[in-house]
Amino acid sequence: MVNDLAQSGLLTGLYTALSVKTIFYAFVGVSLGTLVGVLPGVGSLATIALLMPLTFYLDPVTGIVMLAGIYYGGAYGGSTASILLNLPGTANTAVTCLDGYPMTQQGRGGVALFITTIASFVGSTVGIIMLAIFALPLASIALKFGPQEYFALMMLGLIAASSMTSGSPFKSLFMTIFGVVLGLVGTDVITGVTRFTMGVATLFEGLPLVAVALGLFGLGELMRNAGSEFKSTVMAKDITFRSMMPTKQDWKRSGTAIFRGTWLGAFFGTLPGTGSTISSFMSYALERRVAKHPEEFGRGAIEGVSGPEAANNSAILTAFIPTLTLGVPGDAVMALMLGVFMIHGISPGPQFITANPEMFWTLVFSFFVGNVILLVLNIPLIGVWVRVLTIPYSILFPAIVGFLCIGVYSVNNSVIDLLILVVFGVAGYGMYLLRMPIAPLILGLILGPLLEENFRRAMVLSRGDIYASFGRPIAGTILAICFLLLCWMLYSALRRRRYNKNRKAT
Amino acid sequence: MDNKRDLVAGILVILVGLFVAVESSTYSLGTAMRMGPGYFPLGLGIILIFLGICILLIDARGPDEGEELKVSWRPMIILPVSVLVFAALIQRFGLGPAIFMAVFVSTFADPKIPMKTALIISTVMMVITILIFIVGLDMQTGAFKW
Repeated sequence: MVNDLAQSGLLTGLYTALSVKTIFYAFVGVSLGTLVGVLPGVGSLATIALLMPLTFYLDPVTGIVMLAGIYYGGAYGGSTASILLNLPGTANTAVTCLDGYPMTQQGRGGVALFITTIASFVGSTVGIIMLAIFALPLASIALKFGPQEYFALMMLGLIAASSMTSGSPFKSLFMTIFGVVLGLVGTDVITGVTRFTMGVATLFEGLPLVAVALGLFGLGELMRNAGSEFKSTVMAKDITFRSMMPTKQDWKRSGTAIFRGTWLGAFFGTLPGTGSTISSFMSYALERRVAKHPEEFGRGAIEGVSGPEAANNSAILTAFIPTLTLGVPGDAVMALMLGVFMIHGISPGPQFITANPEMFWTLVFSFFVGNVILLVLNIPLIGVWVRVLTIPYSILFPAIVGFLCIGVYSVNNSVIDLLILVVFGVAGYGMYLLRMPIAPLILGLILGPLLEENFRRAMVLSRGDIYASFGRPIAGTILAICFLLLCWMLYSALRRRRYNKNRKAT
Repeated sequence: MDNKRDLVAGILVILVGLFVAVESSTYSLGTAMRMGPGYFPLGLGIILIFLGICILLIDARGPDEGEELKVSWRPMIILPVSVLVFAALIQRFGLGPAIFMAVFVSTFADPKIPMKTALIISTVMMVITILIFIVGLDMQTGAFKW
């Protein structure tokens, strides 16, 4: 028994997770996450990309501990801005505005903040348990996957990610495939030919991920927001511990909502394309449907806050299941996490996780530690974050520009990387103006080379027969789902067009 | 066609697709079984052109869905310039002057920021980044070079 435990790496993982160093980086991650979550106009994706260069100084697992902390900490902090300002701090807390802000207007903002923290904690904890239970068994199944299965899984991830964005499906498909093409820039690993480099030597190793991500998400976003103002009307002294205490009625109504939201998030988090943002919207819709008083929604119904907040945190954690076990990320943030491993020369996937279970357990336990820290940061220390809300954006954005420059430069000490930052910053702003979604592009950029490699290997195995993959049970099923998703996207695009036409006619 | 946004998007997408397809066709294609470096990207380029045509034929004929196109020119020009200033100074003068100037230039993106505030932010950022990156992380770029 004791031997089994030692072999499973569980104890080593627990030991590492509780070391001072790991706890310190978990603390740094969740504090930074809460900070950028609270600040509207600063996204967690940009922050994660910004801190990627810092992980060069750390071992990969500690790096992931910190970056993951930014992501789930951002969801805790983002709800604070949603509730108090009616401005979502992060995308996955946007739905919390709907009922959180009315609660603030009724003087119940403190209760909303408290219940959000509890809901987030419950959601995260269940997400972590799901990760602990399902990741390793799934990995041992995935050990049998061949290139056909990987190709199919990546296709599903890419198509699902582009089908879940609002707006034109053609634009999101374009962004996904354009991302894949950008991923191919550099030396082709099989033939050694350099592609799409325009003769620039820096590009022989591919586009620098940090510069591209920070250009699109960091600089592009600053261009959009510089000059705007976000003002808070709530003062730190208004949020006392007493005002945060929910009533018995609040607890009762939130309990079941948290339960439903948690399971909804845990399920959708594992699927490609449906990350935490979509889970939170689905949970809101579900709560509204099952509520006894649906008319209260939008006017400060507490279920509309607690359900989605449980769902988004739960989904964030279960999103690690496909990323770690298959090496196939479901959304842009997970793609960046995968990028961190790849920068360190590790390719996550079933081989990696079954050979290094102690790394997996370190992550699992440290996620839990991070969530406990967040509980402390968000209940007794909430006043600090309310004060952070009053920092004007005109001070923030020049500081962010500074960090962007130094962050990109520090990766390779390269001036060319800074030029790439500028190019992708302007491109990112242009894409925003043209309503082209950026998140699928990052996913494509990271999956691109892997997709091509597996495609080529699958074609070698099938002797050039492109339909052979459909004959394998798992790969065939996944590809059939991809095909159905594409048909559904086309159908909804055409239906929308007809609807628009009718609207124009009347 | 009254939808300028999707019209521009569609044309740009087709141009990108054309570029990808033409550039890929200069690499060797190989066969389906033994693919050369051009095979996969050529396929992608053709799909991109097709998507561009779809945007023109379907999206651009519907009404514009987003709010009115409003380009904030000021930050769009100033922010890239501030990064370029950093790029120009970093190797010759070191981190301190580069970060100070980059942050200072970037404050012009918001005309409401007073000069005094701009100078304070720039100085504070210079001190913070030197402490984090040079003292803390031992970055090899010097803080000041003359």
